[in-house]
Amino acid sequence: MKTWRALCAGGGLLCLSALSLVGCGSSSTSVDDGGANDTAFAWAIRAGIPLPLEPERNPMTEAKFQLGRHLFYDERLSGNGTQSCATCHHQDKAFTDGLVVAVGSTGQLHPRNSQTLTNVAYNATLTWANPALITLEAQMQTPLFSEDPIEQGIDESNQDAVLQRILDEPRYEPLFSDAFPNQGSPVTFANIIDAIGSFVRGMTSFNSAFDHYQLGDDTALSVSAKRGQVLFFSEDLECFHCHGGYNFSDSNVDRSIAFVERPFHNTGLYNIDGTGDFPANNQGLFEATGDPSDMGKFRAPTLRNIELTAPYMHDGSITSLEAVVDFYAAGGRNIESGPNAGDGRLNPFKDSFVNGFAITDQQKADLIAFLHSLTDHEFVTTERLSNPWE
Amino acid sequence: MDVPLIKVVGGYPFMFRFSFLLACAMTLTACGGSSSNSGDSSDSDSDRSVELTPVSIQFDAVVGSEALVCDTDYDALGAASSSTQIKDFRMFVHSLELVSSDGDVVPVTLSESDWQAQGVALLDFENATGECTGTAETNSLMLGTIPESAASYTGIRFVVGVPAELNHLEQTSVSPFNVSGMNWGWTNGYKFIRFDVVNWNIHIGATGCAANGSGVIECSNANRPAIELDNFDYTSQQVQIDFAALVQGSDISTDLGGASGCMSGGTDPECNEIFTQLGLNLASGDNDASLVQAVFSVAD
Repeated sequence: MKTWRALCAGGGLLCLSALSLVGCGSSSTSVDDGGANDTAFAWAIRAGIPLPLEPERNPMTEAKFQLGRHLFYDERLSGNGTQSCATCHHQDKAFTDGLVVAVGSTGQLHPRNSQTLTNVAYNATLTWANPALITLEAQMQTPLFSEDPIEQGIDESNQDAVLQRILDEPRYEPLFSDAFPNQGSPVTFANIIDAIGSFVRGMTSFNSAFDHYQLGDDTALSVSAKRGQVLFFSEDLECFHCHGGYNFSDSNVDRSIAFVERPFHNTGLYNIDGTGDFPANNQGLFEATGDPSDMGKFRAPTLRNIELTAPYMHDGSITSLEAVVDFYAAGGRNIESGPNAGDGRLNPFKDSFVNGFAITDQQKADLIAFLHSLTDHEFVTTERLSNPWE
Repeated sequence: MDVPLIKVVGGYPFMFRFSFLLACAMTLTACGGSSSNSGDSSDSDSDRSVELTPVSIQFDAVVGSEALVCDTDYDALGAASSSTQIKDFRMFVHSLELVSSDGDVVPVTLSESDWQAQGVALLDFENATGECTGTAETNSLMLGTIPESAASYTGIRFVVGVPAELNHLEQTSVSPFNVSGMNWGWTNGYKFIRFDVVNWNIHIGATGCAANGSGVIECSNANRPAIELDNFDYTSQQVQIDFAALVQGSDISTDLGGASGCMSGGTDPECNEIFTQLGLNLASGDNDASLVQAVFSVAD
């Protein structure tokens, strides 16, 4: 266990100074629950769901959450002042944008579909397929500063101007000083990232009809949804292997988990020329690892709020939930012509749980009714996660 | 306690430790003098009262026989004898060492500045003019100290890049690690080398990076050229970096696939020649004794 005290013991002189900054007191090791519930933040997560991780360097506070909320919705936080985080992450769509692929601030298309931020604090890795990104703070470098594709488009030619825009907004001064007290000039990208990370980490969603059912309200699910639940967790359909657990994803980490898995899966979307290839510039885990067997592998996203996040898959290439069910029923996708032609069902790197299944129209309707029961209507309407500038 | 303390199961010990040190070093006077220096020599320095000799290593960037500067046309570059302009020319260097005539290797303790932190220096030869879009400020010096000695130094060694234990810091307020143009977000690390010309970019950095079970980022391909130059007198000579030599075997007018230029990808068809010139094996990311780097040399 890496505790403050352990680090401080090794830190010697350096840590003396930390006492006044972040506290290095003996109480840090007096809790006997392994720190699982040790937080300064009102998570407001229902019974039965463990709390997500908080980085030791950037623990959650309400002040950082509120500052982050303002920054998340602020278009001044882009090179040309036209785009905020919220441009691609709309609350009413569970923080996706409804587009096939994201569009950056200069008009450049991203190869990937904007992902939901639902329960993103629980993702074992961030983004669609990057095993090196495990904190929101690290991930956020990419949308803010990426050069190819350009997203928010902050670079060395405009970064001072971007910070000046933030400095010029009077509403920020108390927000920054509350979030980062005792710092002379807290308007820095490091603090901006920590604040947005705190806001996004706080986007938890466990208030769906399914959650009410789990908590004992038998009327919360329709008869059809209950039949769909049985199908979802069946060995015939195998959905739950990759979309299991309380967050409906096997890429999951929380404070109770001692052994973290960071899985990725090829679902047979492509198999260009029968070689297993995915389209260039969108090849999943392979792009990060260079391992040929990682071709086309992506992180299984949560299915919570999946009703609201169409179109689906890493490249937005499937338009509806019905079509997604058909895709998995077929055990992959056979593309008969064009540059991506190939039978994804035969992709040599395809996950062994994507085998296809027989499903009736009624069963399909039941399965989708169950998926719809994962929608958290409070999450997509609550003022707490809404645009504070409106 | 006003602030409950947070523990992270399977947390990020390296990130935390370094950002912690950096935070202390930057913001607190109580942290004490030179204690944030990377070397473990600071205590012993005072204990033993070892006198220190300042060391200043000058790096010169050139394109063949010409000085490398922004807003200037260069001709006859690479395999297709192309003309182009520099867009960016920056790199990180660490593990600077001098080699004595007796063969002793003496680490240079780098001073702390906006260009140097934690034993790592950023060399920056672009000044944001012409096609260059980085920072206006430039740096061609590595500054530090060695223990005073009667030795005669005849060689220099250094490693290009940010060392593994510092490469996956989250964005901090510490220069030069917060120079955004050197950030390489997709690897959760840094570009070690950023040598860009118009429409053809060379970004060398560690690849194949993934978090292990305890949250430490490890990279399969280190891609850190280890350079050793003999017959080098640091008091009078410079280390020359030749872009023309780096791209000698590359057609910098054509994108053969993947990213335009070499972004360190093991399957990028434009990386083999670049890595070879740096003495790196593209497949492993290791320095390859059978390759002779051609980019760095001694200049008078």
